[in-house]
Amino acid sequence: MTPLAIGFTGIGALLVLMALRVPVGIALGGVSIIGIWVLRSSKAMVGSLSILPYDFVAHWSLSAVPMFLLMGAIVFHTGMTGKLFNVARLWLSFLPGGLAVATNLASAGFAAASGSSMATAAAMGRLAIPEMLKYNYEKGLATAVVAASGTLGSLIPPSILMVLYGIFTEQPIGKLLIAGILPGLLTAFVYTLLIVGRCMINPSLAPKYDGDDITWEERFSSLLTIWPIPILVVGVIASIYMGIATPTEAGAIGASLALVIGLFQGRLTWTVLKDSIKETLHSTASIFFVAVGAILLTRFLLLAGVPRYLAGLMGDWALDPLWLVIGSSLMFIVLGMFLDAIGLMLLALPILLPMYEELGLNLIWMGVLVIKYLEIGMITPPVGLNAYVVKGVVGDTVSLPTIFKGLLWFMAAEVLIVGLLIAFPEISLYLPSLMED
Amino acid sequence: MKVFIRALNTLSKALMFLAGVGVFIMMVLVVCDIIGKYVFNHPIPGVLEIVAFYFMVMVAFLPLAIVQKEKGHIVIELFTQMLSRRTLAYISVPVTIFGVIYLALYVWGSIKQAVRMMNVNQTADIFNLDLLIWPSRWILPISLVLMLLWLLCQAIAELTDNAELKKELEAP
Repeated sequence: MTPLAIGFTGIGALLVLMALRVPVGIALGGVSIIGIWVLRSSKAMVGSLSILPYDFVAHWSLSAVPMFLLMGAIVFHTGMTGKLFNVARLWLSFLPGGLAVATNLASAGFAAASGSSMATAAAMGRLAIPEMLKYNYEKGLATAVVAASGTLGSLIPPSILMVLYGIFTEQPIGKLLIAGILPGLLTAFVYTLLIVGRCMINPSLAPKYDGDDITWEERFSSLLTIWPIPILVVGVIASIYMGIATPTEAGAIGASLALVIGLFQGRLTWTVLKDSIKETLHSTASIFFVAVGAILLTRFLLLAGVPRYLAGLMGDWALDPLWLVIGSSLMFIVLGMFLDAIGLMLLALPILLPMYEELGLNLIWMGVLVIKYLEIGMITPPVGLNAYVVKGVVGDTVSLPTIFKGLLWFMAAEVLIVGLLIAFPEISLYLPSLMED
Repeated sequence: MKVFIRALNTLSKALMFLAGVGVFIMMVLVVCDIIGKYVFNHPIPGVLEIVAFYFMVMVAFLPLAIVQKEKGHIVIELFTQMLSRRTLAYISVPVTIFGVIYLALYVWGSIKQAVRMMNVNQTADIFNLDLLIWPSRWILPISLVLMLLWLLCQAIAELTDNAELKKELEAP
């Protein structure tokens, strides 16, 4: 076999192993070291295992990952995010489909602070879905809005996926995080239009919520219950944007601020602290275990000459870059139906990156698109993880097909959003362009 | 076997505790560094190196054993969820062997590197002070060996369908 054939056989073997429930990190790493052994020698195999993992992990930029996770875990376990829905409900219930709009925007805030799509969908599902069902909202709408809006967190900073993307593509992480802001807000806005529009055309989807007796006093006093969230999120974003802090530093400040606020509000108990730290460690270690596998895969594919070959293809076809952008969107969305977001991104980047580079695509813009695609994968059948999380929350009251049917509308909205992001790269690139290098 | 699993569990929890202390100190250290930088115009020397070479390695590797114990590693469930428990147990044999070989090589490679770095007395230079780096290299083999042992015990429990063993493995 030629090295190239070995490379592509490796990719195939990888997919088979993952389908057989081999943990993603072991599949990536195992296939890669076998590949390196076949292509080079057993010495090169052990050599790559002894050097690459430590060198990858012992890295200052990567330390933003545990810090962001810690901040999210503390905010979540101290219950700061739990009040968001109530506030959004008080302010937005006058709109058609007001509770669904409230859920959508509360999720955006929750996801931004917690950084996890699935945690957002689980927590918001528990708070918002019973409330919407109580007011006879259509079940598909009530559940789908939770599943879809949970994905907003990967674009709005702080975002773990963005940090990992930045490490693997060697792009400035601060700029990447900032690049996600407008696309994230655009998504929340389009979702809101979708909900309001659907409920205006078909009022039976969302019967009027009797929110007329809500006083302005109630509205303003409710704001006091959630003040830490905007401060934390805006604080993290602003300090990165203005170049005061690196992403790691911003995350550490965010996490310690969340601790201090929790302490003063009397919500920080020993159990809360312990649970937050445990959750952080759990996520960090499992993410990095996969990332180490992806580093080994990158090395293996490089030895096999796969990136050079794919980049050469791009040259031969003299492809319009747009086709690559659209082609990779299809690939991400199809694979996203089966793989989880982090695993998919780390698997795909070593293959796609050389092609992006060959065609001179802006890698910050591509970062926004890649993460958008990964998010869409979270809500598409059959695996759309967020739909399953929501299903887990609602139990037998709503069936999975109903949830996916509700999600079809959001997927249609995503087609529009992705179209806008591709047609107008400025949406992603304007804010980072204002930052100093 | 019981004593062995209990010892394994205690050890893994100890590593998890160390990692927890690590992530907390890392946060405090980074914040102190920023306060030092902006308020006193005097950053703490070496924070970048200590975070990268010690705390990151601790946070990324020390929890691996507990994550394996709680079967928390990222797995794609989609294609196998319709299979019976028995079939799954059979599939898990080659899957486990694959994992064991990978982890064993990973352990071996990281021991080799740890020994090499210990012998050359690897350090990082911080303002004329030498920060010892090589001890953090040993975090990898220690964490990975424990993860490997959990994987083996879980596979044995699954294959022999030993309820008592499974209970012991899942004990907190």
